[in-house]
Amino acid sequence: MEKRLRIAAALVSAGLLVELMTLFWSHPTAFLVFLLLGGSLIVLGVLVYLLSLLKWTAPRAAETSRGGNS
Amino acid sequence: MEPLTLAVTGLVVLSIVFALVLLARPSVVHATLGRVFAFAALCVIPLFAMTLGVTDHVERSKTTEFCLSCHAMEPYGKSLLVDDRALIPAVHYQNHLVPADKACFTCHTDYTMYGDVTAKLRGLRHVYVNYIGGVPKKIALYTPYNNRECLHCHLGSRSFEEGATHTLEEGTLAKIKSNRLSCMSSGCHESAHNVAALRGAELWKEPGQ
Repeated sequence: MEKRLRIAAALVSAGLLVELMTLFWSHPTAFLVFLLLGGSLIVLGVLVYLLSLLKWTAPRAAETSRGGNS
Repeated sequence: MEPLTLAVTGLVVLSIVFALVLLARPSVVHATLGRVFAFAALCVIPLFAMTLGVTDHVERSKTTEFCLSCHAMEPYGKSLLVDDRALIPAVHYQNHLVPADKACFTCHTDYTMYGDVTAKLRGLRHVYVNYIGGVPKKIALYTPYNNRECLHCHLGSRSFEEGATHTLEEGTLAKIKSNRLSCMSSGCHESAHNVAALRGAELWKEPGQ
């Protein structure tokens, strides 16, 4: 969980840094860099985070249901 | 700096700080409050910051500065400053008949990302030719200039509705309004940017420049 969280945080930070840099650059390329690079990194980071939640809650749910059956 | 850009910058910086906290101490998620913090820091705030970022970029892309930031558009920017009362873009820009900071977008509302899917693909092609393919020697509109761009200001104005040439022949006004007779027709307002004749043209100096 913590490892995935770190990866997610790194990806989101990188994406946001890209976004921050493009905010001070008024050029069509800035928009593309923001959307294609920054946007991809942020979305990827969010997905890794959501995946980490699933992986984290799944064993706990299985444990709970096992405990409930016994 | 625009208020929106300032707000997005603040949100992005805050979001980066939050993400860095999680990068340094991921163990905070073991507490309930930590899990709420992680959800906000890695999901809600970044996606919100991204949405605001898109809005900011789209708003900025309407500015004259943005349009003229490409080398290929330099002559068109120069044509706004020509000291010639017959040159439509120059007259509109210099007299603030269009907002000076959004001069290009006001008259080209369907350009690249503001138009349909085809227009957006053309926008991507512009980026390609600017960096890789090479800019064509003659830049022209893909489709004939639509009267709608003129009419969203001129429609209903006295000078347009009662203009001598517009009312000279019956039906002329109707043809203009329905885009069957172009405003840019020969003998009408045919002189647009005319970048070929820019060399040696006298330029108007904007106040404060």
